[in-house]
Amino acid sequence: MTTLGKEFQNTIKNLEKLRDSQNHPSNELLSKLDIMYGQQIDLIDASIKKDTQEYKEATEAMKEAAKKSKEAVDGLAKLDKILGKIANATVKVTKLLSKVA
Amino acid sequence: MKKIILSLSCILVLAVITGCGLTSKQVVKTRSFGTATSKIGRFGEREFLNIRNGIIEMNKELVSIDNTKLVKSLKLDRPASVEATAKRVAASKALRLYGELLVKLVTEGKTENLQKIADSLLESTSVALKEEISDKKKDAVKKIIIGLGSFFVDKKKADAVKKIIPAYQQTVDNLAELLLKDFSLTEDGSFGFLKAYETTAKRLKNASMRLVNAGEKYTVLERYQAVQAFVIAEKAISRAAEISKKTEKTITGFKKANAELVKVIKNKKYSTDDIKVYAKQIEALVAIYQVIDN
Repeated sequence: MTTLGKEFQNTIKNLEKLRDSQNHPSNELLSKLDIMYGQQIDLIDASIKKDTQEYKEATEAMKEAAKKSKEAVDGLAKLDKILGKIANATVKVTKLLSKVA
Repeated sequence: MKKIILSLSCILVLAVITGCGLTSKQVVKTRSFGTATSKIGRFGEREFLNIRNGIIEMNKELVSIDNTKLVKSLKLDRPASVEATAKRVAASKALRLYGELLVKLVTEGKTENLQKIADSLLESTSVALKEEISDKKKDAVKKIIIGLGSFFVDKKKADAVKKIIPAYQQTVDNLAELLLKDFSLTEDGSFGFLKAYETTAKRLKNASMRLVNAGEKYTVLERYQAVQAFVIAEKAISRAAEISKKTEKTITGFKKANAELVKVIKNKKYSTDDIKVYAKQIEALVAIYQVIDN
């Protein structure tokens, strides 16, 4: 069974590959990564309940982001399309974290 | 006749005492396991503090090179707060004390501070595992040495070893499990302290890349600071990877050796090499740690 943590790490790993494949990665990509690193630290610090709707939504959104970013790594050409997915997933995680704050 | 009776009595007393004590193999295995365990505990105590200090230092660098970051929104030590770090240091301390206690118990004549170590062990274990220690375990550790003549002290110590090792097996496994979780960087989605350290380093690297790649947009001084941050981050990332790799191997070896030690203590004839392998693993960890820290 997948977890938010696992999908989170997969997405970060894919985004790092995209970043490192370019000489001048876009500011947007660097910013998305920064947000995700910050959220990962927030997740380590928080006690997250897995049986909530917010957790399920964040996990699903992050799974989609991981999938699309993997496709982009494979294609290395669809970066713009996946940034929207990442934005959606990080909004869901923020919503989840705001519940435990 | 009187001489013969005296000699026979001495032999009988010696036989009783030796029979109830530990064999040389049991002593060697316990000492070897105890020494290695005190080293892994000491490593944990130091490394958790290093992780906390490293996170603070890297976040300071991050605030200075990324002008979008505010100190208010970035708690510099997160998630390695004093409280969270203290809990982990307590787990490591408990492992160190357990190792030291075992070594003292199987070392001839060393009785000083034994009771103090035993009491601290109970206290640190309780803090680390956030649970009350069962009476069985407490009894095994408490009142180890009663003021007897030195002739009986070693037998008392051997009895204590036989009680403590089986009674404490699960507890020290649980302590080791906490360490394993915190030093793991596997991609199964479980996040521990070392993961937080690595993530902080990756965040700093990411922020420094923005400046380093920006060409003439920044001054040489600004660029220099970003390069410094980049180097700090890269070092931390590879440090985390090395520590994680060796620690995971060592703690897995520890749990195996812990189970084997119980068998060795319960059965005088039982033979195992796992404790030796574990002792070698901890030496490898200590060696790599010395290199990393220098």
